[in-house]
Amino acid sequence: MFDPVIFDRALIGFSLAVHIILAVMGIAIPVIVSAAEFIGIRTGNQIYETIAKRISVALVIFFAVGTASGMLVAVELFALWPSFMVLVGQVALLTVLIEVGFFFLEAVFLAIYIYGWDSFKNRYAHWAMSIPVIIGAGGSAMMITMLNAFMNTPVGFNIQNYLATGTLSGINPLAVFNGPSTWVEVSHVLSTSYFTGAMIVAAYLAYRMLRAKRDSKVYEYHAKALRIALAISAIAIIFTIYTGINSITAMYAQQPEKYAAMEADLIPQSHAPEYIGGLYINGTLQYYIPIPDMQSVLATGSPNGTVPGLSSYPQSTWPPLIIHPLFDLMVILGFALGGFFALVAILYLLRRTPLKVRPILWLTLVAGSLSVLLLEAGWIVDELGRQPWIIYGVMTVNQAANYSQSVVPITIVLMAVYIIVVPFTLYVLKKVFDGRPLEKELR
Amino acid sequence: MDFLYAINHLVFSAFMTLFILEFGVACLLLIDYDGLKDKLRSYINPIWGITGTFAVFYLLSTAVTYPALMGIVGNVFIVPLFVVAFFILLRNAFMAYSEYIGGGKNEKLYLRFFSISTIVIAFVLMSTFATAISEVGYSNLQLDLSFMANPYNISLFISIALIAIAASVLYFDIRKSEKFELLAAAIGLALLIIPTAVFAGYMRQGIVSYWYLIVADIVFLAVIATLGYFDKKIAGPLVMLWLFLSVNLFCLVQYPYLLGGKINLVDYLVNPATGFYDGIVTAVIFALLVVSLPILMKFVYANRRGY
Repeated sequence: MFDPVIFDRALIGFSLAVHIILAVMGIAIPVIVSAAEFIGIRTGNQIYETIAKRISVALVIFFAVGTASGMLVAVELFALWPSFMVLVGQVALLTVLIEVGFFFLEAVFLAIYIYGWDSFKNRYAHWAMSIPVIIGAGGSAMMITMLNAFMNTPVGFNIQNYLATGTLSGINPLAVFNGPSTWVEVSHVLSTSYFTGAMIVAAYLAYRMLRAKRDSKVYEYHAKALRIALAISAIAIIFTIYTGINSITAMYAQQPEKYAAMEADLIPQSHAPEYIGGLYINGTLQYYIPIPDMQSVLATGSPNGTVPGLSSYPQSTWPPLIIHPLFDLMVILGFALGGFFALVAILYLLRRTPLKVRPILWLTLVAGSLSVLLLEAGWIVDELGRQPWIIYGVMTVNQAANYSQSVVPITIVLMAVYIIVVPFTLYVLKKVFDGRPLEKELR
Repeated sequence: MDFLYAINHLVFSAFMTLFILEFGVACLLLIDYDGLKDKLRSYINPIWGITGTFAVFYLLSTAVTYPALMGIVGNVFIVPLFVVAFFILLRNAFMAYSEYIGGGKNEKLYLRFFSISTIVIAFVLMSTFATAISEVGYSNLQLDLSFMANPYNISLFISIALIAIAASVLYFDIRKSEKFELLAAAIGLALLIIPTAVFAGYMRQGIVSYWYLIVADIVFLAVIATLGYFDKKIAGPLVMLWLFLSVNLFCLVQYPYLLGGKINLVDYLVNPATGFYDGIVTAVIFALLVVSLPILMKFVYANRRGY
């Protein structure tokens, strides 16, 4: 007999790890498509319309697979965490219900946008159809993140009474829209989604530019599209950094165990150094570089500020300490990507055409891949950092889990499906674009 | 709180209407692919995306209306829920593939897979609904295999399949099948009596209470079939309305019990504070959809381009 909880965790973790990649594509691509069409209308340059048309095909495919994957995640929430859904259903599920509304908005207007392309005499009217798609995609992400924020900082019911008696009282279903971490999380998730989604597209476009003949129309097409994708990423990374710092500050106040595990703080202390690297071996942190006072300054604004330590909490509520190296990885990747954009900006100032420099295209390709790693690392830090809680301080993962042995084969089958479907979707995208030669569309 | 479950029934009815029509399309694509493909495809794209989202909408609407029921749903129906989700994933993938990398044999193959996936979804869904209502195949918070392989469930599946085919023939105005639709609908309705009669005593009570609505429903179908027979275009939209009203009537007849009367849904309703907002939000989303779907269909079908 297997422990079904391990399989519950594995399935939801794996599904979400895949789903968030599809989701960020679905959030960012509409902005790229909309921007391309708008520029095309304003400048009268046909290449931009071709960019919008071709990338919107990819959007439809990601939307189709993303919808199914999202549906699977929704079913997983019900089936793998039934007790969690019972509580959430009474207090916070309004967010997910509104999410479906946003999703419908996206689906309906995406269909009009795609299938009604040639039917609008006024091109601005057609372009306007992309705006609800952008709102729908972003709104969906916002609502789902609000539920996640509820899991990190639960609100909307009398928690003390629930913990004491197991009954829900003092329910305020609107509190979930403005919880302590709601807007910090929402702003961070949205900015990282736009950033990562646009960077994935940018990486693909850079790859195509590397393969295309210079000064050809195909090259020009990809260069124009890359400029749009990188512009969106550049704006988004500024917000990502700002909202990321806000997230850590909020975590310091709201989820001290998570904060302490992320920063590898075993004991509360003032003048806390920032530990770069390090692994816990036999209860002590080893192989790290300390930067004196840095953590206290970053967290409290003063070297005298005290940061929390895990020793203040029962060991049973400590998150896995692996999140410290993952947090470090996240910060390092963030700096690396920031450096990439700084380099591009400097080259723009000096040469004005950095996207024609082949090493920059290679770097874009690498940066796109790293942005996915950054997204996954950030998500794992957030979710693992909340362990052992599914709803912080209220319900543990073990209390919420489904203990049916049926979970075991289901997990194996669905993970296999994900492993097949995602590469196959990419294969389909390749086939789609192979079947529609760009040269022909640019003629 | 009556409003809340009424809205839940409306969402279910809308989902089932779209799904039954899609189920009919899947069957017809297997029956006569070459003859019907173009006509059916132009409907199914892009409606399949909306149908899928409606499935999630219904699931969520049920979760917000009866949150305490989710423990039972998650534990008992975990396998059918995942089987349905798995085949929805396949259905979506094959539909998208057929749309963009179709052409000739590939398109036919992908649409075959789409059809088979949709039929499997229909079978598992019907089995799940049949068990949720009748308790057949359920005991001690567990399902056994008989939840899918029992004569009531199979007769329900066949009857819905026939009704779906008849409705699709009418909706898509498939002229060469004008007698077939009447026969299919008649057999489907006749077969429906078997599971309904066996399901549970409380449903018989509902049937007695709402006999006049059931008679009106059958008369309405007869009128639509006649209009279809005489080549009246209005029969297509009316058949959608009939499906919607019939599913809603079914909800009315079986409410408020599940699992052979063991579960009274009223005991599982959400708290009034949350229920108030859930009801408003669900109603607003539903109303917006009711308005936007016909616009979308009119718009897309009138302006279809070979995307």
